[in-house]
Amino acid sequence: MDVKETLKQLTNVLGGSGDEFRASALFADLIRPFADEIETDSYANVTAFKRCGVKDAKLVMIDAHIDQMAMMASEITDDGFVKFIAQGFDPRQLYGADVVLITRLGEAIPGIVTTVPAELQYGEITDTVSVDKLSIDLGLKAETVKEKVTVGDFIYYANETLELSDGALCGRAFDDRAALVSILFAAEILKDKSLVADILYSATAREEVGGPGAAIVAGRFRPDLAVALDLTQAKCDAYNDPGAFELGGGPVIGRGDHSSPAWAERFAEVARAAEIPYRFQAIPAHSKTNAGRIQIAGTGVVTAVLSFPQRYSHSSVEIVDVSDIERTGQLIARFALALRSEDFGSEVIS
Amino acid sequence: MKEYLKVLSSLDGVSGREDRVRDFIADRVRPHATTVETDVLKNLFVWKKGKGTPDRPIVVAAAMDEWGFVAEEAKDSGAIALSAVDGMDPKAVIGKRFRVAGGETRGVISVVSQHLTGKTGTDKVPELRELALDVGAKNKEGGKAAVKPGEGIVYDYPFAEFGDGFYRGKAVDARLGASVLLRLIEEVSPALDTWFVFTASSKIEHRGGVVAARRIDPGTVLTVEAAAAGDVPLQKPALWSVRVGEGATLGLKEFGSVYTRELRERLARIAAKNGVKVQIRSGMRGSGDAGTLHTRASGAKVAGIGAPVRYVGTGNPIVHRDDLEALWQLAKLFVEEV
Repeated sequence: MDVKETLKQLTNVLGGSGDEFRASALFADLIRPFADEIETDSYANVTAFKRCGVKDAKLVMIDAHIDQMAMMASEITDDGFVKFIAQGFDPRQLYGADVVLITRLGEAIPGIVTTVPAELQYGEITDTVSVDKLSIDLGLKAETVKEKVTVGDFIYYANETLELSDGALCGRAFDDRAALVSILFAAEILKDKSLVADILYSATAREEVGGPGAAIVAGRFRPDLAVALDLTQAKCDAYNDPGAFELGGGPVIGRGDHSSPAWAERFAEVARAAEIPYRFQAIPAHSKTNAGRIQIAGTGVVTAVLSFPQRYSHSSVEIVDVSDIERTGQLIARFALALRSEDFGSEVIS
Repeated sequence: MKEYLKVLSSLDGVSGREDRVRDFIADRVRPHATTVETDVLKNLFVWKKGKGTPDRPIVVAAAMDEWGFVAEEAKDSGAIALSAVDGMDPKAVIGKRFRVAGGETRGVISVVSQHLTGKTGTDKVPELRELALDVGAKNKEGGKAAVKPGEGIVYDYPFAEFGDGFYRGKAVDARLGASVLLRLIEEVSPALDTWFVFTASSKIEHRGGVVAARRIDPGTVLTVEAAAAGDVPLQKPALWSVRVGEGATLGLKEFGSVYTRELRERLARIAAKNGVKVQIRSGMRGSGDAGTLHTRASGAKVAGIGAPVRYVGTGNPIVHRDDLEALWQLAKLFVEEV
């Protein structure tokens, strides 16, 4: 699989939390060749099963979220500027940003987040940026804006994926589309392999608003193990703690409440055997991934968290490394191949 | 004007690194000019013989250099340390894409995610010195391999049409004046002999303009440039300076200089007579080439004209084609009639 091209394809389609259907449809197309059964539910969750053919086989859910960060139009000014809501966005990233607004009729209108030139700045607009002072310029007459734009329209960063030096890619929505590419990478390897468990590849909706999509899927299919894939913060110029994860450093295996230490150890064993570099990440309480919601779905699900490093998450210039996407996919595939029935344990105490 | 603006704004030339822009313009104007000269600061001087000869030289000037940085050494992190031209706004570069001037290497400037900083502090703007170019390198060696110290770093936003009649893209602001000058040289026969001066390093203390003034010692100076427009909800209307859609701009003054009233009023009369829409540019707090060019030799009359541009200094400045057309008409009338 061409990881770069697949990531470009997946990030070129827009799908914010609550607006995932376009992105879900694309992911369904991409995973279809590697799955025995596939479905997109009414919540835009994509579920694709690879069956092992054994009756009452255990089920392992490999999950990443399909949604990306999105803004929303909240008001249209008399002059035709669009005010907006941007929860979870850093306002400094938005100042002067290239955006695209999707109208109720599906038209994509390019926009620019307003700025004031340095020579005309006075007082507080020099030193701070807050979203409530910003608006979007569509370059259209006020009456055209009022006709086309509706409060509640989704707004996205407009830029497409860019190749940087040294195997790095840069763009929007890598959180969590890059993890979905790892899943596709693994699914391709596993396509004709025989396994002892069924695998459920899931691309779930609305992680960025709390993860109800993953909870719905886990509650419905009751997996015996669910692995949530997400991205973690990578070292960069302004974040260089000695313990920070390096871009290109390989998969990061979570250990903690949402990430079963026993399964974490199993992932580590597999990584060592396959000579995939990895590091552990301590997750004492909240992992801020879908694992949190999956764990309490149904009557409870054993979860693991797997991630890889990313710079500048939730921006339009997120950076990931191709090797991390591939190695994480490689690790998932090796893990699935190494599964044994006895790994799953039992709830019966005596 | 679209093709002129497109071709010139797409060239890469940060202050002090204007070679590509200068060489391109020099090649284009040679068939139309009487003489074409350059100097050590990379200014370009194009003399065009007119029907008559003025008492003292007439200069029509525009800048060639654009917003951006010069790359310093790669840091241990692999990011490239940067040195900015004057007047760059740190807010405008965060989360934005850049390229090595004239090259394929891409990079971005960013702040760390709020996953690391927490919500508090996300409204605080860092100093330019705290920011660096991330080219995707993982260490110093990777950074050194990607960008050499001294290379120009420019915004990486292509020229495009935008909305209802706007043009956008990097250096649409910085090369707007140069686009008008290039077309004047190609299409207009001046009334009097005219020096068309394309200045270098306008964004580093107007250094090009300083020596250009001494070389020519003008008696009349007209500068053509983007007029920063603040007409967005973020800014109080009293501080808008100029408005998009209201036509070409006539400057009153800049930091350190008051423009020549008689010349401005004459331009306003010519515009009115010919049906060219003009507006007064009121809020110029920064300095332009006009201030330098008319004061550094024996002194000259000076006027500054332009077109209103929103988002000056960012990767996506926008100008409306009607305003640009009005500016072209006004500049043409000046050269043909004054």
